[in-house]
Amino acid sequence: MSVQDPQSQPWPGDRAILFVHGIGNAQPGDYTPLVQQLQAILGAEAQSIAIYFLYYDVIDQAVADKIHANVLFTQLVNVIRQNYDGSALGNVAASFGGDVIWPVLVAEARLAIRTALVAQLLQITRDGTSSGVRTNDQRVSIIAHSMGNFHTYEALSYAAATPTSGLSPASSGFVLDNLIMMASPVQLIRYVGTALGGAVPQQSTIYSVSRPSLDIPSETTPSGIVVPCARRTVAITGNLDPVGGYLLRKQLDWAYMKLPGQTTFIDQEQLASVNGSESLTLVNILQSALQNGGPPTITPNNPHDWGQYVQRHAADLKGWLA
Amino acid sequence: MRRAVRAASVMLYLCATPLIAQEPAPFTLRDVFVNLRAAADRVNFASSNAASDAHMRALESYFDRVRLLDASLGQVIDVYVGRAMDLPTIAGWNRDRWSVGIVDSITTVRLIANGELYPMLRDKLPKSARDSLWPPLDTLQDKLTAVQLAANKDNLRRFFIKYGPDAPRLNAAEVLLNYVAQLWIPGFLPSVNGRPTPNELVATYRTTDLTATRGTSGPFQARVVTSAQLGLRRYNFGVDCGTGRFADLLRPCQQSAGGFLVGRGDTPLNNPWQLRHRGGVYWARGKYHVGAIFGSDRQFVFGVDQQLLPYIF
Repeated sequence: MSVQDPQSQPWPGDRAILFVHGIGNAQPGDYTPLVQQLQAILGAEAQSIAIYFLYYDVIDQAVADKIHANVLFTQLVNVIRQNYDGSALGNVAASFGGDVIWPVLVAEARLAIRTALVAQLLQITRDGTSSGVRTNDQRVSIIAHSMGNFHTYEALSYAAATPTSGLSPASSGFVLDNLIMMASPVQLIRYVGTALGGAVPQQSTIYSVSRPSLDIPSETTPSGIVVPCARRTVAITGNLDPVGGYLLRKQLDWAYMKLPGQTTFIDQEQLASVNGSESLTLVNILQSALQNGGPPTITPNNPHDWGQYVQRHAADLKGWLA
Repeated sequence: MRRAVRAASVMLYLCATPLIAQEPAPFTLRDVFVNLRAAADRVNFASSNAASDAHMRALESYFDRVRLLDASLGQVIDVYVGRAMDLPTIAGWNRDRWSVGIVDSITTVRLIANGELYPMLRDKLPKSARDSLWPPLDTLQDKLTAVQLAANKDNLRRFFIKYGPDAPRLNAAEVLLNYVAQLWIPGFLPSVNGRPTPNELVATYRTTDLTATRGTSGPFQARVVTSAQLGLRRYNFGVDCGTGRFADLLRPCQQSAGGFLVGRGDTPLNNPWQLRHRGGVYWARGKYHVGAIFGSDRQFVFGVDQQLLPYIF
């Protein structure tokens, strides 16, 4: 376990894609199948795109090893659980949500991940300029999943609020081509962070919690031009995905992310139900995902599965990233 | 004598600097404004955005007044990100001019240039024209991203000193204490830019410390004692911490000090709640610590920091 230098590579064209993963104990290379999946979708286009993948679980793991993060995790789950009914599905959905967002309670963990993401974005834009593409002309897209959306949102908010970061949309000219958020728990975290109130250390550094409203990060020029961090912001979630703010096809207003200006997709997910009960099936799937603990696995029936989100939006992704 | 040597060194450095600095005419802030004006003229920026055009020209006059216009872009970025200036920078211009106003003004120039003017250039001028106008702005951005990338990497390096495999593990009491300290005590939170705090509270219970005592007539005998520590740990985030021979003693990545308690007798596995009979102070460097017990029964205690049962003691 050590400091990992950000991934660096020459750009074959003017485009780059950064993947930011979600929950799991992902090691570098674990998501190679997902990258190959996107490359297959893009076809020959993929050859002209520099693809990056940020693996940050080493940070979460270091914190978990040092401070026994389960103590905080339990507290978090209890807050989430208050909003579900007392059913088995409600309990496991709360545990699933807590498993996703516990780093929120550890200021140095979440700031370290934000730092790693900012460093990776800085390296990406420097790779672009080294390859002859000016920052203002670079076409960088981020595809984030699950908790990766929170870290991405925080990094982009920090960049937009900090002109000296080198990544601010107006003052640095660093505007993403696409910000594609799949199964985002940003609103869920905003709710839980607000509910925990003063129990969250340094809440002021969590933009998604401390801001009066949840908006697309942006910077304003002296003439009043609002420059968003991305030209296109897409939010996709499945209607069976509790992390994305849905429980058994019902949208949970307190957990579903609605950024003004986002392009929204609600995927109609299907389960091969056990004994005719979708609820029981969902409990089993979420429970097995919780017990997994190892590297993320592609489970076709998991409504939170990243690969399924990518597959369902293959044509969209090809259009957005072209 | 030392003062004279130091003064001579500074003089030598100042004299040698022009010889060392062989870079071919680095861009200055004046170059940025010259090119911005040229770009603005090419797209008639004054007619489409008169306020920002006037603002930009006023800022050029401002930087001229504070004598920053001829500073190299490396020096400008040092001021912009609040990095300590090097000696030539300090010698080159007036430190009194280093103010928040300068930082805000640089931001405003960048906002107008990248947020308002460049989109017009992209719409109206071919790439070759943009390439001839933008190099000073590209250099400014390049130097900023280089400095910030290094700063972010350094923050991560510090994080892994504090949370890496060689860092002390916290027990449940310490997790709770440090969590509460983060909420209530200044100095226990990371910086808003993500730099970890070097401070950590210590509250340990150790069953394997050693002491040496002499019986009524016999020689010194080593005994295992139970101890408790309550103190403050400070991390040393120096780039060479934990390196070299005897790193824990000579260049430790953390040390701590505070109060030290042992039980009534020199026995292992005492109840932690009964460790209040004898007290003193302790000092730890790396994973080693020594404690001194005060009172009529003075003793020295030595130990190694290691959790026998994870998260407990």
